[in-house]
Order: sequence, then structure tokens, then C-alpha cells
Amino acid sequence: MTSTAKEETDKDDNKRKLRSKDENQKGSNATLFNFENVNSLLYRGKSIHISKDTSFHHPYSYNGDIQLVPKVTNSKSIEVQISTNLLPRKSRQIDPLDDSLYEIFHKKMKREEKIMANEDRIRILSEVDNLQSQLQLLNQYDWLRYLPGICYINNPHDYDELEIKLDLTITEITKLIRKYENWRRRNENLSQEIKQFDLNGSHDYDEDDEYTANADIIRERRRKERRRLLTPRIKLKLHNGFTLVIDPLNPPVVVPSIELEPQPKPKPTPKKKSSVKSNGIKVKKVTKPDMIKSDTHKPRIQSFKLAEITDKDIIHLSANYEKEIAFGNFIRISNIAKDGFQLPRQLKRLAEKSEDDRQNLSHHSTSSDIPSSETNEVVSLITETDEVISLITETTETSQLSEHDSTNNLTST
Amino acid sequence: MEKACMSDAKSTGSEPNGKGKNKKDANAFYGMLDTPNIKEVTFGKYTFNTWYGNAAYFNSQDFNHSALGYEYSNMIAADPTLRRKSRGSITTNGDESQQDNFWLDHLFVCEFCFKYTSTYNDFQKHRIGCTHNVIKPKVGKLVYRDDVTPYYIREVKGYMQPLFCQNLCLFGKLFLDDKSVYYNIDHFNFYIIYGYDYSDIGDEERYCKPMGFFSKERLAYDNDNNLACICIFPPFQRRHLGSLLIEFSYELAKETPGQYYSGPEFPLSPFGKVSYYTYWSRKLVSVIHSHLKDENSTFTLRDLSQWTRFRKEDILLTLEYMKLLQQDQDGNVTLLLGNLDIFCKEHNIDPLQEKSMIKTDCLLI
Repeated sequence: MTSTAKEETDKDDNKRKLRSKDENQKGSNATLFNFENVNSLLYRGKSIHISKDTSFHHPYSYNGDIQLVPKVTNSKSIEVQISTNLLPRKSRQIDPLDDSLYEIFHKKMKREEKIMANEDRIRILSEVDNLQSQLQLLNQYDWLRYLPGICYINNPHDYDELEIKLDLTITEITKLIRKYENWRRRNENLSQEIKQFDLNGSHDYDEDDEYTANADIIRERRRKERRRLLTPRIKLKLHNGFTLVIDPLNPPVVVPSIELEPQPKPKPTPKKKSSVKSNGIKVKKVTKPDMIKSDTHKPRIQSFKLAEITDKDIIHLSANYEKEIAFGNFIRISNIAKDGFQLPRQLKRLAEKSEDDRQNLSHHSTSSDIPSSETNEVVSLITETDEVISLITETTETSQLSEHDSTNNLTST
Repeated sequence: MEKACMSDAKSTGSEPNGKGKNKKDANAFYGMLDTPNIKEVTFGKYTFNTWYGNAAYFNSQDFNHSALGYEYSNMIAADPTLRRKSRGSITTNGDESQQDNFWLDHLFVCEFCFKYTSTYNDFQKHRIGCTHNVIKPKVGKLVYRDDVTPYYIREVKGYMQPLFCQNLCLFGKLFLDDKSVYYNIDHFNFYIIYGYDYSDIGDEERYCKPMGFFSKERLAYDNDNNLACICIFPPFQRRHLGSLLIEFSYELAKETPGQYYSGPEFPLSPFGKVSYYTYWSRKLVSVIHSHLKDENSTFTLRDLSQWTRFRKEDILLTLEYMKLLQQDQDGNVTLLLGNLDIFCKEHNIDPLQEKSMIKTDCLLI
């Protein structure tokens, strides 16, 4: 390479560096959230087309060049010598490597590692604390003042952008706080487990038959034991013929209640099945809610935690923002009145939701028919897929959830 | 998932991380060294070189590395005045240790319980009396039982068998580049694979020996980590035990709350990369082959994630590694099935046959 060429590349490098540095600065400034370069395949559920072609031009690259460095023949020698020295005869000698030999040193090292771990925890705590105060600021009426200090904004005068970013930032912060909450819960459980062990020892390893018993029997035994330890599986009966199933091991799903019942009862004929046309949207009225049944579920609902049902890794950039936000507040369209007739509030909400739901009709039975009910509130949850599913719970339940509403993906309507 | 999301959203990546990677920077890479510091290790009847250094075997106050950590600590405990003396003599021995990079020439590690010593005689005496030296291991809980091969995997909770797990970690570090927790292991579970050593001679009943392990952090800040570190000991490599353990880690994740989608803790070591990309790509080949045959249809990473239980990030990484994705100028991404065929040919993969090391009916989870 000639010197000039080198200089040029150096310059190039410099330029590039400067530019990237610049960007970094924007981003890293006070550790701003930056939603500008979010990978759409990962976080926006962008679809990938399938083609039968073969081509190595323009490969997609997000993670950069991936190279598997060590071909298994590597520098790390795995030459192993086998010694043929026989072991000495068994004797009643004292073990020279008794546990106590390591006690002092291992205790000291464990203490040192614990100190390091604690420093980490303190760091996590302060960061969470910081997030919480940010969240508080963003939920204030004057969030506009604080947002640019928390999230990277392209154009501070673009009100639409600000609103979208506000929502994204709140969602992201909530996610992180929930992540911390989840960690804290796990930490508590484990501490409890260890305490229990120190007190009583373990019954966990009492199985003498693990090498001999039938595998199915062991599996079944352990499955039961695990179920006992895990949070219970929650079935929340919705009043629209569907049930929300919250399983500690699986993402929450909404399934037709009939599928969960062991013996399908004779079909109850719907008392009233009318379809109301409003705003060009077909709304079916299904069976009236079975109040008795829902009552039996009430105590369970109390222990129902939102953190478990909303899984959130889709970032919604395409929210119907212009419709829903005015003056920094969520409002619903207020003028769905037709011919001087103001629709009931529930129907208004349904009208807005059904647009999304209709798109998902073909995929999910859950969003097929949106029932309306006079006593119920509609809560929309964002499940692990990025669809909005309308669920009906009672007003009381909603109020339990409402604590999270403003901050979660969960939008109480 | 969120980890990567965060690094996207927050360019500093200053996410809280329970593992404390940042901390390590400040602490001069705790336990890590540039070069191996122990020349040879004898593990049962095998003797081989170590791959990486492990400072955690030694007491940090023993500047001359005159003895193993426990020996030094016991010595100081017996006679506290020795500490001053050993400090005084740093400079004289300092040059010596510079010339010879090894802090210790030979480490002896029990093949059953991983207790270590620098004395051959103690090692031999211990081996015969080692309480873990039994035909079928009893430590922890049996979670995989393949009586045919035979291979067994046992789960040992860190807080229940602290010394065993600490010694296991210390030994593992000799073959792992990046490992930072050796003693404070209460919040880790260890999964140790046992099998027959075919080089054992004699007609006497065979003993199951530990051949490798992986650890799983129960308090990982990213709850979707199903594996923290994995190591197969050198005498037992090339038996595909790594793949078996990786597959097992995914099976285990299915029974762990919050790990519906899961994957290993990042960053992967060079060897981890080889193992994981191989495993992921094989699985993806068969999934793409069975689910995504229709040309002109579309799919999302989420779909693949649902079929495989892999994290979306891991899937994207693997698809890039397999060179299956193409991006046009508008940013649209296409999966090229032609490239898939080439990848299969190059890597000798039959898309119709999904190779699996694990036998699901042997799982006792």
C-alpha cells in the first residue's frame, strides 16, 4: 500500500471513527434509550420471505462476520498419558485430603467472591432505582421535559416522534423493572430453599431407586413434586367461551374453554345471539357470563400476577398513536356517535380493537368473536405474539391490574 | 432476549448483569490468566497439559505462589507470622517465577470428587478411600439414565455439595477460558455426566466416572440462560458428550419456569461456538426442511423460535452463520433454500434425519 493510499484509508478510518463516535455519544449520553436502530427481524416480527434461489451476494449481516475459529484440530493438545501405576491396597488410613483441609481457604475465597457479587447487586439496585425514577418522571404531566434526557430523540420538535418514543421508553423501562422483579423473586425463593436445607437437610435426594425404578414412575413422581413447588397453573375463565391458561412453564394462552373440560357438556344454547352492526363492525353477543362460575375463580385471580402473563418482546412502532394520544394523554376516540346516538363505552372500545382482531381472525380463535357485556371491562393483553387479544375480566379484576396499566403493554381500556 | 434488545436500545449496554463481567475488568480478570499456570494435571490415571490458567487455585496473598491456596491458608492459620516473611521474599523469587511461567508443575486431581493436591502420595492415598469412588455415583440426583451406552447425568445443587462443586469448577477452569465463579456457587446447579471408561482394565465391575459437566445459574439476571459453562474433560472428548449435554440443557429448560425460549450464556468460547453452531444449524436444517418448504411464503424468527425453543437471537446468529439470508436494497430479507442445500452438502447433513444424541425416554427430569 502506498503511503498516500494509507493516509487516505487512515483518513477514512478517522472519518468513520468520528461518525461512529458521534453516534455513540448521542446514544451513550446519559445512557439514553435508543430505538432508532432496533433490529426489525428480532424485535418487530418482520417476516422473512422464502425463495428457492442460491446466492451468496448481499448476505444479511447483523451479527457481523461469524467465524468458527477452532477447527477441532486445535492448538490445545489433548494428548493424554495413561499411567499404569496401580492403586495401593485399600487400607484403613485416614484420608489425607479430608474436607476440613480445604475449609479455611475455600471459605475465604467464597467470602471474596460474595463481596464481588454483592457489588454487582448494588449496581443492579441503583440502576433499577434510576429506572424507577425515570419511569415516574415519564408518567408525569410534564414528561416532555424529561424524555430527551432518557431517550434518544431525532427531532425534539416532532410531537409524534416524542409520543411514540415516550411509549416505547415506558414499555422498555417497565420490562427492565419487571426483569429485576423476576430476579428478585428467584433470589428470594433460592434463599428460602437454602435456609430450609440448612435447617432440615434435604429430602430431595432420598430416592434410593433412581437406578432401578421404572423411568416413567420416577418421571411422574418428579413431575408431581415439581408441580407442588411451582406456582400453580391458573385457568382464568373468560366470559366469552374462552379460558386464559397461565402455566409457569409455558407462555400464557387463550384456548376455548371446551377444550379444557374433561367431558364436554351438552351445548348450552345461547340465550341471546344477536349481532349488532356498529360502525361497520360486526359484534356478536355470546352467552351471558356465568357469574357463579366466575365467582369460584375469584380467589385465584387475586394471586394472578401480570408479570407472568405479559411477555413483551415485541416493540410496537405501529401503534395507532394519532388516534389514542392527545395532549400527552391516552384518550379514546370520543365521536363514534352515529345518528345522534352515542354508543355504549364498551362498544366504542370494541370498535377500535376489532380492526386488529379481524386481521388475526384466521390465526387465532381467541380473537374471532369479540363479545360485549354490560358489566364487563375489556382488557387487552399483548401476549408473546404481537397480537392484541381482547379478554374480558370483571371490573374488580381490572382494578387489581390497573396498577400496571399505565406502565405495561397492558392497556386498560 | 432482552439482553440483545438492550444493547440495541441502550448503546452503552450498561445493563445490570448478575455475572458481573464489568466487575471482572476492575478486578484484573479474577481467576483468569493469559497463560496456563499449572504445567500438568493428573486426573485419576490420566496426565495431560492444562489449557488455561487458573489463579483461583492459589491464595492471592501468596505472591510467590509457593503452595496451593489451601496449603498456604492452613500454614498462615497455624503460624500468622509467616505471612510477613513470605511478603518479604517476593523480590527474590519474583524473577524465578517470571522465567518459569508455571506456578505449579503438577497438580493431582481426584477423578471422582475433584479434590486436589500437589502431593502424589496424598493423592494416591485419597483415591482408594474416596467416598465418591463407587460403582454408580450417588452425589446429587439422577436426571438422565441411559443404561445401554451407559451414560448418566446427575444434578448437584451447589449449596448442597459446596466442596464437590467448588473443586469441580476449579478443575473445569483449566480447560475453560472464561469462567469467573469458583467458590460462591450456591446459586448454581451442576450437571455432571458419568460413563464407563473403556480403557479401564480388568474384569472387575466397571466404575462410572465423571467425564464432563455443565453448570446452570439459577440467579442469572437473564432468566433465559439455560447454561453457564460447559466442559468435557480431555480424556473423554470426542465422544459427542458436549452435544449430549447441550441437548440435555434444552430439555432441562423446558422444565424451568421462564425458559420457554432459552440458550447459553454469552459470550461463547471458541469451542462453545463450534458446538453450539453445529447443534443449532442441524436443528434448524430439519425445522426449515419440514416447515418452510413453500416458496414465496413468509415466516418470522418467532416462528422458528416456537418450533425449536431457541432464542430468536441465537436463530438469527445461526442463519447468518449458515449464510441462508439475503437482504435486498429495501431491507427485505429472504431465506434462500438453495443455500441451505449447499450448507447441508458441505456439512454432511441429511435434512431428513435429525441426529440427536439424547434419548428422550432416558430423561428423568
